[in-house]
Amino acid sequence: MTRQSLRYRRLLLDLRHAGGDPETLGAVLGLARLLDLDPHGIFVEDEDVLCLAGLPFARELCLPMGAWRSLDRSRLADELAALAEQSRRTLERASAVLGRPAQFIRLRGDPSALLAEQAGEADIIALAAAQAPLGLADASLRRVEDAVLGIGRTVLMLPPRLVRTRGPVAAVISDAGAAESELAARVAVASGETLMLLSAADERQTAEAVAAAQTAGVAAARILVRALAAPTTEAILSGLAGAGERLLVLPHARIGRRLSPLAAARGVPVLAIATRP
Amino acid sequence: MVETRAPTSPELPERLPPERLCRAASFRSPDTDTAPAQAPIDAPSAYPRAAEAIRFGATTAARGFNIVAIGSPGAQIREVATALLTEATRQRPAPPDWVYVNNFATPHRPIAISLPRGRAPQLRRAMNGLVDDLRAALPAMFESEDYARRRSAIQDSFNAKASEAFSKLGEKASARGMAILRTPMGFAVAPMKDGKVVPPEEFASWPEERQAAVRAVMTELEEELEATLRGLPRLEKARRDAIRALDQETAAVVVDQEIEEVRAAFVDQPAVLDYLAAVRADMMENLKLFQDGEGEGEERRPGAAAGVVRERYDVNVLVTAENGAAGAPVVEELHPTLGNLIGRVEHLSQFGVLVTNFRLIKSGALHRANGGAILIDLRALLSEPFSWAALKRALVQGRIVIEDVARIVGLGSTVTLEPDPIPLDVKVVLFGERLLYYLIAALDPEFGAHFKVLADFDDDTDRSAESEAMLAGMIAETLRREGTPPLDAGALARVVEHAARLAGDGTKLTLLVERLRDVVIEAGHHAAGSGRSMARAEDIEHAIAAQRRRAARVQERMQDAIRRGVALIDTEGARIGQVNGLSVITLGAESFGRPTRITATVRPGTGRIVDIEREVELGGPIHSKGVLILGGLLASRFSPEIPMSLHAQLVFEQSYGAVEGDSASAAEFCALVSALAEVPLRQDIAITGSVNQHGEVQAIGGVNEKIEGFFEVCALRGLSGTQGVIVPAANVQHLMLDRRVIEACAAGQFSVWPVHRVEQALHLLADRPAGIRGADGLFPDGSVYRAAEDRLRRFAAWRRAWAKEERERPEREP
Repeated sequence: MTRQSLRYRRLLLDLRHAGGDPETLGAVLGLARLLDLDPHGIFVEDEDVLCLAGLPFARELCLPMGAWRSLDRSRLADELAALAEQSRRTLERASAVLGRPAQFIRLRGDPSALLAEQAGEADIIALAAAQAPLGLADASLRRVEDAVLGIGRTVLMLPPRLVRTRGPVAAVISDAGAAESELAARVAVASGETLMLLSAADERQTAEAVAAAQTAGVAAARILVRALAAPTTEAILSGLAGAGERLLVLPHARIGRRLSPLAAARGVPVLAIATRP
Repeated sequence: MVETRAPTSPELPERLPPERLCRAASFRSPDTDTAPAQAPIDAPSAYPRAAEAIRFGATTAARGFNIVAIGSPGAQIREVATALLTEATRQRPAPPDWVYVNNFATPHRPIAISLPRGRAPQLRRAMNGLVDDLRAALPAMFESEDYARRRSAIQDSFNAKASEAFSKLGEKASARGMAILRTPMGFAVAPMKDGKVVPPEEFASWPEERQAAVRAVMTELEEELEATLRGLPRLEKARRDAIRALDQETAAVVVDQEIEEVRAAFVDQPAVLDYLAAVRADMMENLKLFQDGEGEGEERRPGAAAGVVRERYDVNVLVTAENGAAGAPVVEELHPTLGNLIGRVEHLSQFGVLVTNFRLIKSGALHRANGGAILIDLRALLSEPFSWAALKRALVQGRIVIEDVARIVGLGSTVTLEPDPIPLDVKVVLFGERLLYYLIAALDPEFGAHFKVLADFDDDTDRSAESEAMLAGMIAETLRREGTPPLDAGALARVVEHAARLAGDGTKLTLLVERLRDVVIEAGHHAAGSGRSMARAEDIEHAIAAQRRRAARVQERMQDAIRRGVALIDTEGARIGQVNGLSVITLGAESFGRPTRITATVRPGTGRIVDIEREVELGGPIHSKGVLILGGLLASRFSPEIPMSLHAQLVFEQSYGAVEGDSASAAEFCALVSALAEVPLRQDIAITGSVNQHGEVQAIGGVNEKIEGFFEVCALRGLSGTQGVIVPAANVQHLMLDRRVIEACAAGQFSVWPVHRVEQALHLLADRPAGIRGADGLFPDGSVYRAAEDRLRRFAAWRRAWAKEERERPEREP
């Protein structure tokens, strides 16, 4: 695998699942600005839900009271439209604060397919981790995550509850290459934060990652290195103990389906870098 | 020496020699002018009756034997009571300290705790230290890695349970061809085919059995979804309980250690130990008060202010021993409002609302005096609303209950407290004027139940060498206390004589030493101003004269009116039916005498004596009684077979105010007899005295002021050498005349005549004897009574003639 500098063009945000929290939205747009990405908010009205409303016996369990009511297609369409408009306004306000205009796209169809279709190789797609426990039952969210991860796109997994927006930028380096550390270094330089390298690689590769970070502009004194027993989720969590990171960057291939729980556990965004051929 | 029984035959009274006009101090003599030793004397010695009562009351523990000390203004009631109470309480054990602490179960009922003397501040310091230590130690415990790890494990465990339930539900749904979808408002179960929801039209095309089966599965999954959702709160509660148990287990290590340190210092105080147990329990329930944030890997947020924690576990020291104070306290409350007396609960305004807590309880005088004694001004106590009733309640219940005034009157609507009552054991001493005591004793039936010991402070004491020495000692104490220059022997003698003058009696000495204090201070001031380190008699005279002069404006105006002839007073010559009476006017602390012209007119009548003062309702009942008495005297003097055929009128000329008292009845009798007898009376002599129906002249009040009042008028016009005042013989013992009067009498320029009988006064005023009825039933020729009786006979004859004429008149009409 050759080392290459990763350059991304757009950041696509699944507003249907990640557009409700202004703080999280602000963090995402902030990261877009640091990486010089064009933010796009995509709200997909799930056609499956509208289709379900066509069944006369279909009903929904309303939260938080836990009462059942029948599904009405036209009411459901109105609610989806209202939700879309709310997401748009939230996106608009957040982007206005950061001074980085974001484009809003409203679609109707299969969320997983549409989002996967929208995401190109130069895109980072931001998804929301399932919010335990209810979110874990949400089939559509699972399908979106599976679809996007399945096509090997770079994913920014957002935590259900953002705990901090300041702190070191952490990156997991492995023998797969230094792309993660380079990207993390760019974020660290742009944000003025410390770079923390979690290394499961050998010394040489670790040194190369450090050198690459310095080349990217991170001062040597602001580079921390922690050893990982292995590039596994458990080892990563152990290695991050007390780190207080604001962003975790790691190779997509190493994390797989554990991306969502990892983001939920740390309470910070996790950027899984897809390997480009 | 007091005059004894009057002579049976009225003789012309002898003028009093100068030495009878003022009793000199026993240590004032031409040979030795040595003052008695001015060793300070304790005030109680001067008031034996009251001191004995206070000593009894102060040493009696029985309920209800509180003390009421009464006397005239100027008596040393407070000083004597304080000194005696201090003496009595010195031997009593020191009372305990009292504190109020938070009642965690019922915050509006703070708990009162008694502690041995002086240990309340120690408890407060210990609790403050406890809180400070825990504020440092507890956050550190909750920030430790061990705690974070254990808490995270609990969180993960519960999250996993909840997540597993929903994950399994999702998997189950998927396995049965269903999916759980997120809707805008919640969740729904949908039948799936090829990863998509079955379209309605396709579903409708399925056989009924298949549709029913699908719907059954949907229903089953919906029920399971609902059940799983409803199970979340139970899981959440279990999670919170587990976290709480972890927090308490973690905190217990430091909390128990810190509390044990405080316990060790108060192991002998069960109430404190109970409180500490409550503190521990409350702290374990409110650990968040000590934390600055929540350590779950979340961003820290600011927690409760340090002040909130300190306030919750603070100790309100209500009463504690002052440094070095021995024995039981003696407290004086000069402003006994309800709050000052029984304590009060203060409030703070927070966001427009009045709030309070146990720390805002303030002690009252009863708290501070508890175990000892309290002195309260009776007038002030009765003047303050609710205070008297509150004091009685405290004495009846034997405890101090802090009550809010607003609640008492039913107006309170703010948050308030009901602090634990505190047992009361105190000796109460009320002090004040006699009239107040008489009134309250008569009007409040409960008064006697609480104040059984009366300490009546005498206004004066019998005068003797010993009492003069005692007074000298009291003056010395005053001089020492005020830092005033000492007195030489002459000054001291003058003060003693002034004390007799203030008592209004040459045989007494006043014990209202406040006025003596004023004189010696002013005398000292005058001496110092003259460059002398010791005050002399002249300084005392100066002070006395200055006091009188400052209050003499009205007197001088009256004298000026007399001098100018606006107020008609004769001081020479003789007039029929006119005599100079004497009265006393009291303004503030000063009194002065003034002459008043009393006139009488007579004519034939039916025997009525008209008192004009009474007719116009200016005469008081005692004055009217005096006039009626002299009427009886008049009737007794003249032959009973002669009808009292006169109509007489008496008046105080140019008197436009109220007249009371019978001290002018002798003067009125003389004027009346003079008018009846048509015998003129000397106007260069004034007369004062009350006369009874037997003609005896009785003692009156203010004899010194009256004599001096007439003297001043005569002196204004120039003393003629014949002027003077007739006084009751019984008043000679009261004479303490001004030096100027004495000097004038010594020079023969003025005289004072004591009389036992009114005939003596008449003899002097009329320059002829009054007369004694002889064996022939007649008064002697030329006597006053003879002239009067002759006129009465003429009046009787005129009346008979007139009556006959009236009876015969209709017969002569045609």
